[in-house]
Amino acid sequence: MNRAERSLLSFLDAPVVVGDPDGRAVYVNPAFEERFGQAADEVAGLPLAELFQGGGREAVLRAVAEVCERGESVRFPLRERGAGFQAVVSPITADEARVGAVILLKEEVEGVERLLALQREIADPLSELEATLQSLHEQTGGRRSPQHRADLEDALRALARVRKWCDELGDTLAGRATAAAAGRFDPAQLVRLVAQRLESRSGSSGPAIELLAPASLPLARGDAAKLEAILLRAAQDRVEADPAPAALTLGARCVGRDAARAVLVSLSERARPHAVLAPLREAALVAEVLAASGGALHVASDPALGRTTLLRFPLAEG
Amino acid sequence: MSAHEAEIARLMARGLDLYGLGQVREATECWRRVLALDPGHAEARDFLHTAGGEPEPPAATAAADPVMEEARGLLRGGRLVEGLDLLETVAGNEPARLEVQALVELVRAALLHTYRRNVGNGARVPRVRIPPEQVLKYNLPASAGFLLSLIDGRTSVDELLALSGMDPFEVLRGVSNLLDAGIVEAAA
Amino acid sequence: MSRVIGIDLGTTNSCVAIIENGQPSVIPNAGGYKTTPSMFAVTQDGKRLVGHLAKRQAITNARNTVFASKRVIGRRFDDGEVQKCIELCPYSIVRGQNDDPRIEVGGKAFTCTEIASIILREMKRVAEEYLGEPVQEAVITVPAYFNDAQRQCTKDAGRIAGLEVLRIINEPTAAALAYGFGKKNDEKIAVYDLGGGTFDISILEMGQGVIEVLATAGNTFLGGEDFDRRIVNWLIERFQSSDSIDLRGDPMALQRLKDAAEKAKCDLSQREAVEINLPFIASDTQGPRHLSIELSREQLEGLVHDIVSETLKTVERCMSDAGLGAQDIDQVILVGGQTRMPLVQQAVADYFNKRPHKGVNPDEVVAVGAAIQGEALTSEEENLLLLDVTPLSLGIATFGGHFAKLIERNTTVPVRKGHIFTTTRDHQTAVKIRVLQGESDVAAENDLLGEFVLTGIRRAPKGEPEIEVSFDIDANGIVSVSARDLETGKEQSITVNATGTLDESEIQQIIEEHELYEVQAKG
Repeated sequence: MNRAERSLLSFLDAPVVVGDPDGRAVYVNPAFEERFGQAADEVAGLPLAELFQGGGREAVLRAVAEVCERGESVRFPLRERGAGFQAVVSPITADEARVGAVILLKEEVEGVERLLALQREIADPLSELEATLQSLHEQTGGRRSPQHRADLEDALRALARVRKWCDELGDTLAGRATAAAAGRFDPAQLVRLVAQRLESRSGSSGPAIELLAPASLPLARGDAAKLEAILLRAAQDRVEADPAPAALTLGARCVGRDAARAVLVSLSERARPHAVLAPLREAALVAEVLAASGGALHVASDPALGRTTLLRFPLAEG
Repeated sequence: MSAHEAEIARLMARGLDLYGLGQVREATECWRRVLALDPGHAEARDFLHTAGGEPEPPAATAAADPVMEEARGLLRGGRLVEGLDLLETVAGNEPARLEVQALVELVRAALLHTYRRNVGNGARVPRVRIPPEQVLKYNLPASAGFLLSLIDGRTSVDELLALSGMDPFEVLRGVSNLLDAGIVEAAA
Repeated sequence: MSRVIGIDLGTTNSCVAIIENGQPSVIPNAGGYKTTPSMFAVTQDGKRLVGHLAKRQAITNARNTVFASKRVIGRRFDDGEVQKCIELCPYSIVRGQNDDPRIEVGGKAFTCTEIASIILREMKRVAEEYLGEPVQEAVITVPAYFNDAQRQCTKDAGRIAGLEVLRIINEPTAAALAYGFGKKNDEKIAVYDLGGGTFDISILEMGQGVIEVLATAGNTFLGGEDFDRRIVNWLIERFQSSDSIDLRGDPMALQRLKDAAEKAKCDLSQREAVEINLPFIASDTQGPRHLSIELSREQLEGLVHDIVSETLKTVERCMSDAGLGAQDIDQVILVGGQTRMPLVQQAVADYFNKRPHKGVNPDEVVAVGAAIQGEALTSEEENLLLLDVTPLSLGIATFGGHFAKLIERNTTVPVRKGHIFTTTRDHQTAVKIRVLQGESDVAAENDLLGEFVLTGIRRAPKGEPEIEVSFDIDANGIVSVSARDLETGKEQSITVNATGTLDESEIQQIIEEHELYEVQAKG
């Protein structure tokens, strides 16, 4: 796999596993690591079966074999470590034009979204039923017995009530689903989480993590999970790049007034004499991810003090 | 500091900024300019070497921002508190200038340790040592007023950090300044 | 022998009391306060705060400070009350796996039972510190309108906190006990409870140790904090007109204003006017600004008189539900710190045309009643042993969505009622039973306590098997169900786990988790 392919996969929210034609794992993206705790360098070369558990293991292996043989994508539901996914296994051409597989696990939709989909499924035949009854009512206009007419009218009234409730249900569910997908997050909470993860990963051997953020900040706009992954990876890179790690400072604060208000999240590292700190990995891609939600990226350095990587987020409205 | 030295410092830092963003070519360009101004600049050579660039003659240079240059000068001279004051004034007037905000972060991270040392052990309990009417004579920011409202002679610095809900840097800077001004004293 | 404590687990403040040498005594916390804010917070560095410490940072750390979680305990996530809290509270409330509301603070979702247990543990600690010995048993109070799930959650919270909950009693009942009512003749008592965050009015009928709640009404979003908010807004407007600075967007200023408003309000119950001084409240290019404003009792009354009138409308409604007029009430009791305000006392006295009882501190009276009940439950002497009544009818859903009441409301508890079930299809081996609580004839309009499936029924033609299902309501108002096949005598015991309550393994897990945390609390 080349660097560009890895970069692309690394920003996907869904867990992805890339397998070679021999059924061995080549790469897993950060979303996979986040979800299942195994990083790309840990899984490289392992049989794909070792990445999955229980019944899911069999299903994945069967699907990979089928995909490698036929060269066509396979889609199937998968339960893995307590969560439901839609697994999509697609063929990729690996070295010597042999076929490997990409396994993409798309998390099953949230309860509210599933209910919303069901509500829509119900609403459609209701409309058909309504139209049919209405047409029956019109067609049989003068030929109906009083009983027949009363029955039809009762049915139409009952249907109108069901329709009203169904629409109300749809509105309520849609409101909830929108709120859940609104993409808001508290930047103070974000840096706190990243600091906790960093500390639990590097333990006592890692650098001291300073947290400079108030208890809470106004909500910012952006995909919290993606931003957490970016920040965590940037910090992790710093930890790994430095054999004698100095303190890292994670900060979050609010700046500006009125419409110009924004939140800044920062990662600061100390300078090392006569050494230039390694550049931020995938800076262009990170800048793109931020720009997608109206944010920006900046890096400032000082030979004596060190470097700050600064992420700016616009505030969420309301 | 001469204009010549200031320009060298600006180019060194600008190169680091660009390098940090992965813009290696632009970064090496800055350090080459430094070498054009001062061919013996060892750090610029080290940086160029790390970035894999060779010292070559640079292109024309862009104009510098005098206020930022002054701030950078203060930081180079180790006068971090004054440097931060100046940077915060610029950032307050122009919050969208990310290069200023980023530098503010860098200085805050560096100054944190100074303030922590000054305030001392987190178990120390600060208390106001002058009468309220005398406190009014000081020119304190609202954040210091808020801290003063929490300082009751029973609440420790660690508790202030937890209770105030403020950024720990602001708490430590506030308490440190109140101690320096003699408004507050802290018992072990 | 371990002592029994009485705990008033309030929406805004909690209080703990004990009987010492035959006299009730309210236990102060380490800071000398006799009530502790029912607040819990997680600070930015992960420290857990409870009580006054949590309150001191409630505005500057609003998103991670839980207050008034009692409003949502034992309710379903979709309940109107929960949805209202989601709209109004700065902390985040999410749907839990049992369809219960969970409160997210410091990156963790807490069940409401867990939050209540943290407050109860703090009250237990306050008592233990005062008594210098461990405390294991408690009587805890709940509002009279609490249903089975809400009572069950409160009881579970007690267990998680390390307390054996001897009894859950109704708050107005506890207040009446504290005044020693109901020992002799039948009396009708109005309990006007205006706390920090809620208002409740209950009409009780007491006599010979039996207490009946004739009617109860209230507003779970009206209380002393609304008075504080009015003062804060008034101060903000005054400051804006004098100094042209709007303090609304500044959490540090708001925290100071809120604290100052609450203090001023309390002082104005004793004094005619107070001076509110907040130095360095803001600053601008001209330097620091100080807030210094005088507030008189008359001004305060002008700011809040409509809130007091609003409570009287609720009283009127409750009296009409009970079918009584003001002249039918024998005693009026004031409960809740906000009833210290002279305007409130006067309004209640005018309504009932009677001087209300306010001898005992109104924010301590419920805890005192709970302690008295705790003493009565454990003492060998002959004391008033309270017999409460069920606040809501209990029954099952029947064919066609109807509600069949098996135990009517106001039945004295404990109570046990049996009902014979049979099959509706040939060879049916299982029946599903839905247990509900409420007053509506339509099953869907009542609270679902739980549902269970009765299995192992003998294969027989429909209508032949006879299964007796017994419904028990214990003295706490908590429901349990058991079933017996009358033919074989085979017994089946069923736990009714209402939505939102925790199962045994969840309770154990929380107990273990809590042992890991050192909850910081002081004053």
